[in-house]
Amino acid sequence: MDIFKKDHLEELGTACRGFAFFTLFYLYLWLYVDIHLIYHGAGKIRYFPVFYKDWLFFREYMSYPGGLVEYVSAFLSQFFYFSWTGSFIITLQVWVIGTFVNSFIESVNASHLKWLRFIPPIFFLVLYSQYTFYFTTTMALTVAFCFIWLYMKFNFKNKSLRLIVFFILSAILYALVGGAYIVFALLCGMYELLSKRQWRTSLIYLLSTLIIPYIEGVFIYRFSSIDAFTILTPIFWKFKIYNKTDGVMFVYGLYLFLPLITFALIIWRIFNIRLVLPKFICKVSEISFIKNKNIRWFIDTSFLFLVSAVAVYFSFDSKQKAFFAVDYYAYNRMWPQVLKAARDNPKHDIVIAAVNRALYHSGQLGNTAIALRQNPGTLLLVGKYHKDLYWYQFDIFLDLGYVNKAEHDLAEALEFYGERPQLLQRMALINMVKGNLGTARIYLGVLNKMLFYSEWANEYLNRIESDPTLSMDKQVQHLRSLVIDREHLLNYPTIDALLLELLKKNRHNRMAFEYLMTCYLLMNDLNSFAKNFDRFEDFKYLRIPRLFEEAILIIGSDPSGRVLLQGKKLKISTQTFQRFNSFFKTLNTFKGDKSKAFREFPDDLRNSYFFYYTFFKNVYSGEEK
Amino acid sequence: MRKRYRYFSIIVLFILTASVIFFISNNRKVSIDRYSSMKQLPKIHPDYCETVIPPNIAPLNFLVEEKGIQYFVKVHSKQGTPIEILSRTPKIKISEDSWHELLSLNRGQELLIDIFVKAENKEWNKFQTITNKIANEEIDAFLLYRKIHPSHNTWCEMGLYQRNLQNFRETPVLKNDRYKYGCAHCHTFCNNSTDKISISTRSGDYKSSLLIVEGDKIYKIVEKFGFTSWHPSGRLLALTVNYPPLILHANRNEMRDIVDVDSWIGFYYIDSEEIKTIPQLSRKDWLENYPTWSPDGRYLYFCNAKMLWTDTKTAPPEHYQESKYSLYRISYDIEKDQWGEIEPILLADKTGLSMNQPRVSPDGRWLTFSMCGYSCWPSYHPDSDLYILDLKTTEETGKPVYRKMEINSDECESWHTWSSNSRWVVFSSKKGNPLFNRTYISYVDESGKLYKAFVVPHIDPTFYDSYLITYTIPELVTEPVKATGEKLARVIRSIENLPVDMAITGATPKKEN
Repeated sequence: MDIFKKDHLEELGTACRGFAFFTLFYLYLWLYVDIHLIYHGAGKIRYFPVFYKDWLFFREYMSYPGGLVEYVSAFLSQFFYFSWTGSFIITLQVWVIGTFVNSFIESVNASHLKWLRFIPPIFFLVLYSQYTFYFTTTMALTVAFCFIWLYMKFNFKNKSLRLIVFFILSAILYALVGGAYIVFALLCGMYELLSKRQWRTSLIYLLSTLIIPYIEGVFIYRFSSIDAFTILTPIFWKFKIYNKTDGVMFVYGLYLFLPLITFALIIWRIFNIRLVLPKFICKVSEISFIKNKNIRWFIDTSFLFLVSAVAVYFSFDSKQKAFFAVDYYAYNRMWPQVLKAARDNPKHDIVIAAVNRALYHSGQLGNTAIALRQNPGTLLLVGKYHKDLYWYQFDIFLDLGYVNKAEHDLAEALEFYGERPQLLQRMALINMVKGNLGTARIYLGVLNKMLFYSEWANEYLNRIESDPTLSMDKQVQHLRSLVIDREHLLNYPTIDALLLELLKKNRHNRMAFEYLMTCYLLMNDLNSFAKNFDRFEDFKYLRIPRLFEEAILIIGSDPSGRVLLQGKKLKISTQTFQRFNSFFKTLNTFKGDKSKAFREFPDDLRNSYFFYYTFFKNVYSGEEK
Repeated sequence: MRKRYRYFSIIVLFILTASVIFFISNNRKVSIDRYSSMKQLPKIHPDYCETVIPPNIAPLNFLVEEKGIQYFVKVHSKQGTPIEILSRTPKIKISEDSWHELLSLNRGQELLIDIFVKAENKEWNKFQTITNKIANEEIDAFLLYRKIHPSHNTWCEMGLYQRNLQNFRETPVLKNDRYKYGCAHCHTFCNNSTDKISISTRSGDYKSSLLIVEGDKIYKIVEKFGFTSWHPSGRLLALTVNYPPLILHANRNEMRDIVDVDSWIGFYYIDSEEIKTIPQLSRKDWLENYPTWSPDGRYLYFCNAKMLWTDTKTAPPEHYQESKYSLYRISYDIEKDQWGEIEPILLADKTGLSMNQPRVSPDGRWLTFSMCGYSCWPSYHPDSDLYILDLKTTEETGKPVYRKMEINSDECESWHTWSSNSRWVVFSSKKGNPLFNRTYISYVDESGKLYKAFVVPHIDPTFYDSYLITYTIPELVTEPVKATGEKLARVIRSIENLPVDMAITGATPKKEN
């Protein structure tokens, strides 16, 4: 039967390998990388495009070369909102590129190099494992590859016809992909040389890499020369401003690997270079066992998966993933998930700041803050070590009720990151809190034009119509109760001054209180802690947080301190007293040798405030205040 | 082959049929004989009711904010064919050609809009007729403005754009992505013409500069200038140097504020390519700002405030909320290059408010300006309103005769410009929302009365409802800017510039020329 013919078996084997590879590729992106984290951006991806469902938005993209591809990329990028759809789109893109590479290699009679088709997928694995976003420029490359395939399909024998087809495709392609057109012209030129042996045609095509962008880009679209040649390529200045350089070498690699390899092939063939392999490789390839096609298939497949696994192993950044995940969960107020994700990147200040929020909202801040060994400035991400962290600050200040500061951070973030829906949602909320319904409607109107935010926006638009005061909206009412009304500038000299101002406006601002007391504990400023302890009565605590208890005991043990709990309902727990006694008993065993004590202190006491106060006393005092 | 031909024919036939049906349905005459008359005006958005409109304005597309399943709108006037629109959606888009034909036939007449709404019970309701007036005088065809996000310290994309007010075409004049996201700042034109233009730019990559366009010639002066104003002769440019740091309030609704810590007014002489100052306008203890020339070039109007602080490095400076600008002018003879004495026009002590952005109408009759609680940046003051001063009566009586314009809202009004025929004022307003400026047009009659303002029309009447850009510094001009954005940007990017000798440090000159 035909299906069992050797050729068909070989094809089946290749197809199975491809299917398995791309299936695993897809599953890796979906379940392990979690593509929707890239959509979220976490303040690290600056150039994630927005997309609006209106005609005017589309029209804007039609006024420059590459606009249509940028528009389509913006549309497709929105589906990164769901990991499974985003992963599918990327896998499809990678498959298209791989298929094209295969087709090109075959057309230039270099079938022995078919394994090259797996290079782009491996590059993509690296890029996405590092949580980067180069979708637009790689999409431009994909379209350029498609046009090369189209050109190869128009396989006219007549040279003139091929020229006409080339120039028609060139004109269209440049308008679609901008500078990525150069790859098309280069590879078509090399194809003509390798496959058709038409060096004159090849030369014309190579010259087109200069002529077409110049004519279309500079004269028709009125771009500068540099922009005309680079737009949508990874060297375009906008991408450099927007993107950090992580992974950009792999994007250059995607653009250059096929032209370079084809060029090498040309040189090889022109100069008839004979590849001299090392003897042991020749001997291995002579073994009949190795010559067996099934074995070869198995070896090739294993090698492919091994290389992919190695690429993933060395490129996947679990700390980066944790960073993205923490930011995503914190934005969505999924506090248990924040705490879980943070375990993979526990020392990063921004992660710690998110964890602080999660601990507060879970009622755990007073019990575990010290365990984070954080700088007091990390609470609010302020101070000389935390500049321009607008993306990470706005929610902290919004939760505290410092609405104008949150608005300022959002305004700066909007300039930096563009009209990201996460930022617009918060802006809409802030304007509702401030009673600026006209402005809120505009932000909601914008969100209404986005793919996955219209429901949320419409709900609020309806709410504003039916209840302009938003009296039934708990979040709005709560924030309104916290907003400062005293006239002053957005510039507090110290963290505690800001938190005290918030408490002056609303004594029941629990987050401000817990952050204030935590700040004092981190700075070992127990005097200020003691002075503010009476505020404890303003909140309905069922028990005193552990770290506060420990601080109280330290204050109590200092002869000049006052006993804070006199006359108060809440008492210090027995376990804390026991821990107190245990701590100092253990400390005494080290007979004053602090460094030995620091190294050898039992784990169960290292997370106590006693330990922090004893060993970190002078580290943060004063500077971050 | 036959099959293919058959399929092809079917497709072509289908397209033709659909086109015919579409054409017929869009052009059939509608006649509503039975309807109930409503005693109120219909709610439409934007509010294009009871305004005076230029005869050359683009169609006033609007949204009918009444619930219904179908809408019929009839736009008519004394002469010409009424425009009839039947629509299933409340968005009413008027044909440009029909609109312009109707308006051009009816200058000076009323423009009437009848709106019928078909309710769910299939009955038509007719609302009260909306009446607008078509002015005799046209408005300058082009409006230039800067579009920018309402940013704080950081900015990204922004640009200068020109809008053809006769249709909906808006084209970029200078987009900042041509010079790596620098800032395109204040822009001015000589006599509402684009023959002479000045644009202030800021750029970390290419240095801050003043771009000057004189016909085909474009060059730049690498200095950080602020506001500029062309002498009507085109031979001289008044310009300011400012130090206006942004400060942010923790409690205010509009949290941004700008205080000019230091400033002065200088002059760039086109022929001699020199920048000069005069002692009266560059005093160390005063803050001079917003120069603007009278149409005959004999006076320079400007704003002036006493500097209430000694430390010009701290922002905000002390007593900044007490800083109020007054309106002055100084006479000038361009032939002799001689300056007169400073004359007060309107003092802040009298008004209790700070005056900014004076502009004289091209016929020399009116002086418009904004006033707000304090300081020099009314755009960030919700209490900023526009005022008009009668220069003729003021001259005659010796007392300033001014009033608050009728066009003000509860939000901030600022940035205003006159049309070349002195019959139209275009200004920025945050009416309806305290964050985003939109541009409004108002008719001014010969007595100085301003009529109800209307927002610059857009092809999509709901456009402004979801647009995160703010429009600033609108300027009316009679023809489009001829230089392309790339040409302007090339000059910004180039290292060639006009060297000028400026003995200046900070915002107040060390030497007086």
